[in-house]
Amino acid sequence: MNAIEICGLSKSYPGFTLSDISFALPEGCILGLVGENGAGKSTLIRLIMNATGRDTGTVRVLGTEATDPAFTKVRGDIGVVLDDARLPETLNPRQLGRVFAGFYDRWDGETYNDYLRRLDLPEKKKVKDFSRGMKMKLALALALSHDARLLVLDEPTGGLDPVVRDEILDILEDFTRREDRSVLISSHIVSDLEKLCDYVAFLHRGELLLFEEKDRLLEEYAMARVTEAELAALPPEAVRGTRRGKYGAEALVERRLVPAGVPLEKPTLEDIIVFFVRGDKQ
Amino acid sequence: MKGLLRKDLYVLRGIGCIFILMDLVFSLIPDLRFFAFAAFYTMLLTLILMQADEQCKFDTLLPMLPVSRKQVVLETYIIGWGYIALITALAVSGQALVWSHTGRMAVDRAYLLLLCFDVCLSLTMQGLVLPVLFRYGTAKGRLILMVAIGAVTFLSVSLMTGTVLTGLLGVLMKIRSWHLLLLGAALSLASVPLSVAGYARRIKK
Repeated sequence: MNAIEICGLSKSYPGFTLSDISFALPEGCILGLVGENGAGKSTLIRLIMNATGRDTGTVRVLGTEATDPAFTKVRGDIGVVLDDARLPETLNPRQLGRVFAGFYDRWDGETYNDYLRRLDLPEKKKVKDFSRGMKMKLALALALSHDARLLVLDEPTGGLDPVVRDEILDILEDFTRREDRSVLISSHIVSDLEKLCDYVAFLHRGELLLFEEKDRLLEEYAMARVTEAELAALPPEAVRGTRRGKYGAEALVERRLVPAGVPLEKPTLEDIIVFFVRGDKQ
Repeated sequence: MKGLLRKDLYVLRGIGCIFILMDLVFSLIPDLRFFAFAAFYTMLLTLILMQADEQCKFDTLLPMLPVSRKQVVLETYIIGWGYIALITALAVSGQALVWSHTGRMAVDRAYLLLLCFDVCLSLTMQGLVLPVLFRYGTAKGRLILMVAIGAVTFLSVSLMTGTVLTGLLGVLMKIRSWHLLLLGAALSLASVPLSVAGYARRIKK
């Protein structure tokens, strides 16, 4: 079964259109949603959760169409973390635990308290007195304490220091040890996603430029660090993006289309994303 | 809905207690025969709750939690109804306490009619204001709320003058008290689907 299945999804706002998005995330996999500010990542997440209306297309989450009234119950199997946490500021973690216990049928207070201890979160301090990192950790603890089958995370690591980011990524890795659990995570920090994801979706100005298995992506593409003359000699269909400097050029190339003998290096996910966008501007 | 109720009760714990305390004091004043406070505070509490959610953006997380739109709306009404019931009970208890100390019967037909009028007014105001707040949010909806609060304040001040109060009582005496309660309840209940539709429209934007 697919955890998320999207077909022909579109949504227009004045000055922005998320157009014709289609992909399927198999159950048990982690999808990294990448894109610059305003690319449509948060809109896509809101559409997946049916928290906003769509113009066209279908969205099925854990086997249920998101506009179906039955989807309200399905949300009980989904843990959500949004940027800025967005939790009631005058409450403390203990009170929030009681509040969320009222939302989720399978709420596990023991697990929640374990997360509070593990993440070093004070039980009686109000959320408004938390740092951004603490708020995000608290939101994650709340999202992970009801035995969710799918986690939807919108920029959970944005603006956090590397130590907290690492802590959050560790927790997400733990979460996905069980095979029926899936994650959709959006982030600017591509290196975080590279560590974690099985699939990568790249949104650019409201369009899905890329949806691919991460490992296949890293195998299919390569970086060629060459001179201007060598770059000109490369088959144009092999080159997806270039960057020219004083001492030569870099190009993201499709490995299978490059003639033997050209020295190629393994790209990072960030290289691929950056050159995909730069490819527009060649 | 249990989660939402808990959240709102936690949010209201401080300010709600202050309001209740004020109501308690007013209810203990002998011969104070009008309790427009219920309508006033119910509207104010609703605004406080919705504003708190909007300020921390919890209102954008809420549609992603396992709560239906109807439950979100209904919970706000339930908080309002609960508060109106509490204030009414406080008013009656306060006057009963005064009666037990002074030995003078304060709860007569006129008192009961005014009490029912106040409940009716509170429910009507709730029925008028909540659909607007759910449709437009507190930033835009607040204007309507201010007008409603202004109207209730004007009415309550007017009723402090004997002639207006006598006039109102003259009208109310022709009505049965349960008719007033029924009217308020009907208006409040009728506005629930409107609020649900308005909230759904705001979310869908």
